[in-house]
Amino acid sequence: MTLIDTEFLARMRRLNLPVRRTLPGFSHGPHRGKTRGAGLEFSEYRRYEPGDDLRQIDWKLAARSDRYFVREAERDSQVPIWLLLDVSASMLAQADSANAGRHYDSSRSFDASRCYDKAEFGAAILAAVAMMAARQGDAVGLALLSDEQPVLLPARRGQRELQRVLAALTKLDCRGTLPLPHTARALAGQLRSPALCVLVSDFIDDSSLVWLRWLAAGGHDVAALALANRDEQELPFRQAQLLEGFEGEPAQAFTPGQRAGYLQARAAQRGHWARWCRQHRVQWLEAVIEQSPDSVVQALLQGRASGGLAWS
Amino acid sequence: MELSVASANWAWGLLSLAVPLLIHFFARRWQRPTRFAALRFLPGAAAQGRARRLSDWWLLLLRLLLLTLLVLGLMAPHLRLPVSRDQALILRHPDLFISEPPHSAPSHSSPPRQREPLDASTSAHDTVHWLCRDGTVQPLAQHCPADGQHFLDNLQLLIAREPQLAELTVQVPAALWRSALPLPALPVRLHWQVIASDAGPADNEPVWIVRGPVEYEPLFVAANALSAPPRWRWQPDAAAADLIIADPAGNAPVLWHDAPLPWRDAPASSGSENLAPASFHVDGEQLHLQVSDMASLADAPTRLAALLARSDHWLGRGRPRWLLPAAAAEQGLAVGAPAAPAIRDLALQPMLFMLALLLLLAERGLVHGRR
Repeated sequence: MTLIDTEFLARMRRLNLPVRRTLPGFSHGPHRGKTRGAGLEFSEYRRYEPGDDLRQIDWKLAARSDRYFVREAERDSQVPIWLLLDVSASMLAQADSANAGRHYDSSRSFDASRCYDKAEFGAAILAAVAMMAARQGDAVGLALLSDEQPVLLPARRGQRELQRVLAALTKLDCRGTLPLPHTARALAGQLRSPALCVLVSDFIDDSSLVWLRWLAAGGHDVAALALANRDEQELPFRQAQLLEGFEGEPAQAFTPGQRAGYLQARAAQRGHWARWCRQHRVQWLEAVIEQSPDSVVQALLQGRASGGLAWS
Repeated sequence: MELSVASANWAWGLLSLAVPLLIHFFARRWQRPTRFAALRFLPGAAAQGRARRLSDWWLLLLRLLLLTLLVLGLMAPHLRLPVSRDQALILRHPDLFISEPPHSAPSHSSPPRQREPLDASTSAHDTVHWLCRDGTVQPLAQHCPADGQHFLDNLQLLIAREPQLAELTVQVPAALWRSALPLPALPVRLHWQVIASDAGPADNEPVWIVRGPVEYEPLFVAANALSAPPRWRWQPDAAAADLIIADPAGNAPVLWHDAPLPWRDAPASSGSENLAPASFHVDGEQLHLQVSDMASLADAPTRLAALLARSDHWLGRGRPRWLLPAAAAEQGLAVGAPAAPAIRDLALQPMLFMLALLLLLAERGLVHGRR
């Protein structure tokens, strides 16, 4: 079952994707730029200095104050949007099919025999972001992070590039583990200039945190979306059974007595990352994939607008 | 090499191998794991899974092998291994330690016998051993116990328990030589050396012991008078006699020789045309002898003389020598010939049970170690 259908994309296209932090852009665009100068929106006055453009002198203020001031405006710029999706094997964890259908319209066909997994859900979120970015004229790039089969689509503008990104998001091949940023040299070369980076992962292992640090250190506007399914969030198993990982971890016998310890450990890890993100001005959003992608996108945009931690 | 089993019915026990197989596969089916991505948050996570699956397979193989060994052990297999015969041994009868010869004429001029072992004409002294009455093989410097089994019984037992023997030289006293019973076909080559401790009469002629009813004594006195030196010594109470006269009830008296059976092919009797080999009981002792009839010793003294002469000739074939030549000795007792190689029967049951026990300990150790 694919979540990226035409109706979903049409709904997402009407939304706006704000950039929370002002980033130095290199051309005009809808996002607030760091550089001062000619632009659309007034920023401040400063005293005239020899060499300034005479056309920028506010003559009315000069007539009133008998001094010369130059009118400064914030330059709106275009910021590339980078979509980073964790396609390691752990993202193959599927949604609870009994609960997933509740969030969809009855008119929508729902194949209960095969439910979507975290990677597909994350791809839907990123597809929505790509649609918004394309409508805004931003360049969109895509990186599918896996040590076995990474995919890198450079950030470019245009419908053709958008279609390439959407096609890549609908043909995911999750395998291997999440690589460390220093091994993704091709991506590092693309991310030389600050960008809006949306990182979608399950953030189970510590390599995800390494990505967050690496992106934050690069001066990017980072949004981290942590996905989990209901089983991982609540551990609803009532009987002892054998649990097996996705990435070759050794299987382990589970007993119901371990549930409290699991929830505590998971909450501690999530809390630690949330605090770190707050400290480093990284948007942190947690979501379960049993809810609708629309609600998660809304939460993501609201979080960007409010500038804080959001939980959808 | 040949493998045989004592209890083949236990082979049905191999059907029990299905039990651990079924348990293993059903357990794996019941324990099909659930895929879960967030294992790292589970407390007390231990690297068991893949190792556990591998150890499950090892445990299954261990249990199958254990059951197989148990069943094979219950079948009591035996491995028959051919043993090459390459040893030669010289055995000496313990009676040769005593120098007094049996049945020899007393000679007052003879010096008293020394109790010393006879050193027969064998050059390899270090290879000569006593075959004692208790069945043990002792070097010549050792003494043998007084009690035990018959020498020939011990000889057969020795050959049976020493499968590597290929050739035996057996030194026996003359008395044993003359009273030897037939030996079964033995898988070794026997060389008999008959040892006489004394030369006997001066002319080296034997004196035959005669036993019988007292009324026949004069006949032998008369026979002695006809031959020089005397050839017959009347000894009615002799335990072992060369010539025996008996009066079976209702039959004519019979005269027969206490001759070794290997001479069955010798002339049948001392005079009677109606000879048939028979078995007689004399004084409670069963003798398997050639039988000769004598219708009436009293009526035919010449006939008796002829009979005695024939008996003398017949008995003379068993006359002991100091050391019979090997060829002559082998005409006597059945010497056997190296037959098929000896077979050593190796019981495998103890080894199989021990291996099964070790596997059981290993299996228990693995199971408890995983916990």
